[in-house]
Amino acid sequence: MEGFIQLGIFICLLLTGYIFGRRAEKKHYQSIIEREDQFRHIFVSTERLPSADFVRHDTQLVSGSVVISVDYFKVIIAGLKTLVGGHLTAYESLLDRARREALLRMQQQANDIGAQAIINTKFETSRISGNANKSVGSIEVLAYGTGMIAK
Amino acid sequence: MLISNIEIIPGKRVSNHLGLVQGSTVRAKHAGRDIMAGFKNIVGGELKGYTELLQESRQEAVDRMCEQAKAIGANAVINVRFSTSSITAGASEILAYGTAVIIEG
Amino acid sequence: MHKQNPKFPEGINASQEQPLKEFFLLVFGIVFAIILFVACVSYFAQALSPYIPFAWEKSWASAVVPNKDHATQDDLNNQDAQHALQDLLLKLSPAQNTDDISFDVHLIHDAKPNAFATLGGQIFVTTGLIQHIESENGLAMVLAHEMAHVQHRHPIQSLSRGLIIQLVGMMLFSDSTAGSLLNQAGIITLLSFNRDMEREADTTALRTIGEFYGHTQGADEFFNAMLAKHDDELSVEFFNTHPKTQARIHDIQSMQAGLGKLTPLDPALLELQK
Repeated sequence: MEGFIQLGIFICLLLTGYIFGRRAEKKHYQSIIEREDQFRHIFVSTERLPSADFVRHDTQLVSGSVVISVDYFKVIIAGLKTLVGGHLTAYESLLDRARREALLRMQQQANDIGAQAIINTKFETSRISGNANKSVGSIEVLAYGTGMIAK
Repeated sequence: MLISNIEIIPGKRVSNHLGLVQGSTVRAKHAGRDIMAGFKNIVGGELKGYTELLQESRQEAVDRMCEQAKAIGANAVINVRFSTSSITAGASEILAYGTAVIIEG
Repeated sequence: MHKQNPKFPEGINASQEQPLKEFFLLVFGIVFAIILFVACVSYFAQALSPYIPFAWEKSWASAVVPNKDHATQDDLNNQDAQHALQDLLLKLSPAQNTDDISFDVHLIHDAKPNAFATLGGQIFVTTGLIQHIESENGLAMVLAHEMAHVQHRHPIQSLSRGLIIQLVGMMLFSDSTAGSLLNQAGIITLLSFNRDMEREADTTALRTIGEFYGHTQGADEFFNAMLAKHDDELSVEFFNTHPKTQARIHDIQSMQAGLGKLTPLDPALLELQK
């Protein structure tokens, strides 16, 4: 009897995680695509030396970070996948969202200070532990670089 | 597709910088590798299973980065950096990112 | 011309596939694999574990059996009853062809009626069970049933099955819902005998009773008493470990050779009923 209650709770959590998780992901992606269009003019690259265009610019460090939580559905899929191996597509989409969001927030900050481009961009990804019992945690992605501000 | 860790490619000229490209994969180990690793934890030595897994993941991340570069018309990626992070118990993400450029010469 | 960030096609770093499809494939694949695995393990455990010598079972069991030197006051009061039980068991032994197995029957103080057999010929009977018996025939049926479990090596079979399932469950899933479910499945196999084992024990026991008393009247006495008290709290535990009582009564009644007179219980056991 206890087993059935446990199973029932598990399925409820799973459904909730799936429905709300997918909705949140879709909305987030829509928002990301919109803002990427909005900030297309702030050029981002990983070069260490500023090109000839930016020789007379001021520089300032800009960064953007986001913490996105994992939903229950993703946790269960990950648990099952660690048995058979392979791509964790659930987490790949999560990290893709997080990275693009971090980039956008960095571009937002650059926009606020009047920078036209960002060079030497770097990423830092880390896991933030959740509760002790289940590994439902969150992912933090930090994007930082040097913004080139026209004088 | 030329991939390089440095800014300036000797002998070639960068004619156009196209933008930041990134490729990432999240791969999980499977039960078999886990059990072998468990045994290795007792005797020590290289965990060949995991080394292979991460090598494959890294190659795949680089491939995805090149796919993005190709999609926007680049023929080289410079200033490539890697980043590895543990996502959940038993899975890790490999990220490869760089600047897509068009080189000549 | 100011440089612009390029627009990338979606789906390179994040797959556009529906996760539900993958999820169901995974779940059904893994569940199927687990069921297959459990079935294989059960078969092999049941086939191979009887080869473990009974002498080993006895030495393992002697480590857990209550030490006769450290008897409690209750135990001392019921020593006569315990002897009566042991005597009855010895009397039944020839009829069951278990002269080569040495059983040890222990009386447990519990109002809940129950009886079970474990490794090394250890049989446990609760005082609650004695209180629900009317004649020696009913008690003999219960004892013969437990003796049959030991005779057919059912304890070692279910123990090895449960242990292997739990072991593999621990190895594959360290901590997850699936892991705890498999763990619970393993524990359940450990503690109880399956339907086939119960039926086999019933058949052997009935044959013994028929031979010993010349008839099988009163063999279903205990089960009828349990069924009548279905709602009684004390009987719940019995039903949890011995399912399908109605079906067992039906089976026993269909096997009954003939009617005869019931033998009364030993006085020491009647004492317990007071």
